[in-house]
Amino acid sequence: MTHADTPRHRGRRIALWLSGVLLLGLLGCLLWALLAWRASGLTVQGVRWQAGVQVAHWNWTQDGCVVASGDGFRWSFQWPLSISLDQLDWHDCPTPGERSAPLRLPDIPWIPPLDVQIGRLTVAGLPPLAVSVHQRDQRWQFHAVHRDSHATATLARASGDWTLDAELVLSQCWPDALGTLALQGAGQLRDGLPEGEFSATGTQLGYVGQSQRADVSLQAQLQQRQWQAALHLSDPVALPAGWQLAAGDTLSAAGHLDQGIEQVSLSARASGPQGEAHLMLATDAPGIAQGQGRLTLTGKQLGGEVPLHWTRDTLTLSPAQLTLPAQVSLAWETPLAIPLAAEGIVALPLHARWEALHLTTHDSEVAWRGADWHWRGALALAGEYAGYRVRAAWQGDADAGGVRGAPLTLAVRDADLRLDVTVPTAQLSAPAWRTDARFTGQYQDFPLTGRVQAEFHDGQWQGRLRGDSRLVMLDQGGELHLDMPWRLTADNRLQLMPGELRLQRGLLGTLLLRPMTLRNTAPVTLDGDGAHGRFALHADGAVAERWRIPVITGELIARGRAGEMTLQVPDWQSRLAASASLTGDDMAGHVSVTSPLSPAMSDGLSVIFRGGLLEAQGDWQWRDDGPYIEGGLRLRDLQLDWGGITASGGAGELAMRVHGEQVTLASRGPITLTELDIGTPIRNLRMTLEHADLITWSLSDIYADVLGGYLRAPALDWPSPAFQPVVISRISLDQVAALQTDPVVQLAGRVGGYLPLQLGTDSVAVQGGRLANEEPLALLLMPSSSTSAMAGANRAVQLALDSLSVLQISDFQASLDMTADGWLDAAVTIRGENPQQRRLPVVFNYTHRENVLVLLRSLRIGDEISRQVMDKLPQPGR
Amino acid sequence: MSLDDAKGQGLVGEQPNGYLGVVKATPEAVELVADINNKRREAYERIARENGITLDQVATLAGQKAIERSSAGTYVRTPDGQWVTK
Amino acid sequence: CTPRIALEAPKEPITINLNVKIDHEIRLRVEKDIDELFSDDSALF
Repeated sequence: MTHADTPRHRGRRIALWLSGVLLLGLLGCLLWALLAWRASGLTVQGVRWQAGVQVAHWNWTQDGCVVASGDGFRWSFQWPLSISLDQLDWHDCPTPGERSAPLRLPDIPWIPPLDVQIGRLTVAGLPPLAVSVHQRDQRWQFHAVHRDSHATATLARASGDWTLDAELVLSQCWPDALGTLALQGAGQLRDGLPEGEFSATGTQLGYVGQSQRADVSLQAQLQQRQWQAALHLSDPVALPAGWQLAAGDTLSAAGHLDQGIEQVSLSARASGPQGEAHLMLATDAPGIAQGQGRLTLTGKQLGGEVPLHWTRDTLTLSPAQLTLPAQVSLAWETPLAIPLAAEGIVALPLHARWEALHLTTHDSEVAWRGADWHWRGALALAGEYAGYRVRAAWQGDADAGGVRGAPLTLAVRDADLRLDVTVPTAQLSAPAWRTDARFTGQYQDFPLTGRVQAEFHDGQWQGRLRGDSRLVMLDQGGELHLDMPWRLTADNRLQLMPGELRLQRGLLGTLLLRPMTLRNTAPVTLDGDGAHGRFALHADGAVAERWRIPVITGELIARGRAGEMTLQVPDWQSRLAASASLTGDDMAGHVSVTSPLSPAMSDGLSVIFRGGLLEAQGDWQWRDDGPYIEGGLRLRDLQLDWGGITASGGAGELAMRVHGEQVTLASRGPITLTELDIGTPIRNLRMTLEHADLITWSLSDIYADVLGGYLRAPALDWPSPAFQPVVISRISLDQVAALQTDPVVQLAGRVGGYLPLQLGTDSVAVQGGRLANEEPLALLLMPSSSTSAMAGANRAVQLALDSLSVLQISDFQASLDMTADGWLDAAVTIRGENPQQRRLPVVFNYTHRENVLVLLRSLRIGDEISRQVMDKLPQPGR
Repeated sequence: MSLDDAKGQGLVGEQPNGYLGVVKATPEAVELVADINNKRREAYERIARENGITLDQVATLAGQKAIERSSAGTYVRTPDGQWVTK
Repeated sequence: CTPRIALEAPKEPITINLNVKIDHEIRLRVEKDIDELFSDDSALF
């Protein structure tokens, strides 16, 4: 037996062998740990060994996805095992493989007594939790806390018994939810699945902003992979937008963990301001994971039924037609298969109708992933709106963020309007939805082009409308430019903010219209009735070949179907005020004009206004054959002249009636003229205008003082080919004699008679006029150059002149004819006595031929003196 | 633009009524014609008052003379309203 | 019987016929005034 075999010696050899094995084992373990470490994807930073392991930051990646990460990991070498982490973030990594298979808890290995503290655990979908885990004699206890909510779960590894007890304050976990949820459960863990009973009771559940609160209770069982659940609502549960879920046994369902739902019966009844919705689902037969259902909408704004068919992973809506609020109806002809999954795509061939507008979708589909959705497809709109035929088409994508796609095209047509609008939708995005549409087209004959900008800003739609057109009735120019910012008020009325409509200068034949602008300084509101607001008008007037209209300023006040307008012509101090109102489709109103009459206003006329005041007013109506006006005209202090001939003191009131092209005038009471100077003054003219249509004027009760006597006529038409009698009387011959430019004879006494007048447009003729003396007359021959010359020449003439030298006339008869061009032929027979010749009876046949117009003209010839007289006349405005 | 230029370019022409007329309507032509006619009217008014005849009579006399004195190639208007070149 | 010259009005009235035609020669000032308008400096025509 060798020395080494001694028991002590053998013991030391065994100890040495044991320590070697141990060392090898340790080394192996270390090596294995290293390998395992490398494979486990665990990376650590800031490792320190001090009464245990401390790791500042670590994360664990599997297949490139960080499953978990954390900081402040401490593992202290003491008994029992104690681990604490400050922060643990659990990330949701998509685990490959059969996703729908229920999560199976892994078998928990034997672990020595253990304490784990996690300061802050974050898991997607859950609020941050403070978690503590205790394990003694293989009995696990989990405890999680978030502010006032807490949950405790126990698990005995040996028997698999588990319990769950939790109380959640919903408002702290999910922002809009209210109430508390108590969860209880107990059972046994069998090959990774928590079988047993589970119940949840919600107390005072509610939704922020809704008054209703509800208590809800849910029971569920899980046995041998079969589960069963029932939901009961004791009160209506508040839903968003004023809807609520009715109380009652809403849901009971059962199924197998692997094969999914096998039996379900759901009857959820919701009611809201627009109506009620009732959703029913049931299985075809127990045990088969598919079933029928029906969604029915009823109420004043809702209607329609949608038969449903569901399988484990797809919900299919059969073709249906629904009526939705605001009379929108929605329909689809082919079944809609909606995958019941967190993400998927569904084709949505929808057809919507609102009043007379039809909207159809083409190859439209919605793809969604979690909460965000994305629609793609094409829309076509057709139909009628407010009397316009409307067509629109658009194709592109839409999601919660906005809309992108090809430009939207819109065509609007009616009898008068043709408008094509294109709206680029390259980047049309919420919340501003800033659009910049262009339009071209035609309204009646007016070309239209322009641009409409719009955006949703400060809680209202606003933008700017710019449009161009042209007054096509003008031969040249006349471009129209509109620049009008707008906004939509809260109650959906369009408001035109301060803007401008400008008309460029233009030519209508030889009439030049100068630029004009219409501006509103305050917003103008448009609604069903029309516009409400004020517009300021400024027009630079117009220029014609022989007259011009100076600057016009004014204001238009629109009050829906009525309005007023006031215009001023400052240079002429003229003012027009008009009111209008629309009843049905005929327009009527009142108009009044007041204006002094100034020379500038009469440029285009053959007369010159020197003064006077015109006041006119009337009621007007616009009919399809033009304007209808019934009103009156008043003239005062009228003063005018035709160059040499002057008239002053004109006054009168006329009734006026305009029917389309036809104008008729008649005077109310006499028209008077204080004086008409045609070379000899005609005074105190008075006449009544019975009827005039601007071509023929029929007058009555005509009177005038002339040549010391008067002229009177019952009725006269002007112009008229007829010879209309005029009576003249008390004509004093001395005034007639005064007409002689080179006085030859002096006359005295009054004559009268009648003159059949033919009144031409600008001439007067007399045919068969008779004058006679109305009292004894007297005649005195004047020694003048012409008479003495005649006397000297011939003895007989001398005798005649002597006998005529002084004559007392007892009988004076004259016949008068005057041609239109003024040639007067008078044949006078005078019987009288020459008192100086012993009452020598004389018969004096005298014919006189003279051009009266030339005579009167010669009387009007103003030499220097008389022109000063003329200039003394008040001439306003010159 | 002077009156002679305008007549030379055939924009305006003389009329029997004694006032200048626009032959080819352009804004400048209308402004020129309006200005000239305004001055003619004032002259006719003075002459009418000094000669005891009406404004229209002076204007008509002036019109005849203006047409006679129009240079060849410029426009003049016939009594029935046609523009013809002299 | 002494001749008596009775200065009594002759029974037969004396008849005088007189025809007058007045032609106003209006000074032809109008023509002159209008001609002035056509002078070069007036630039109206």
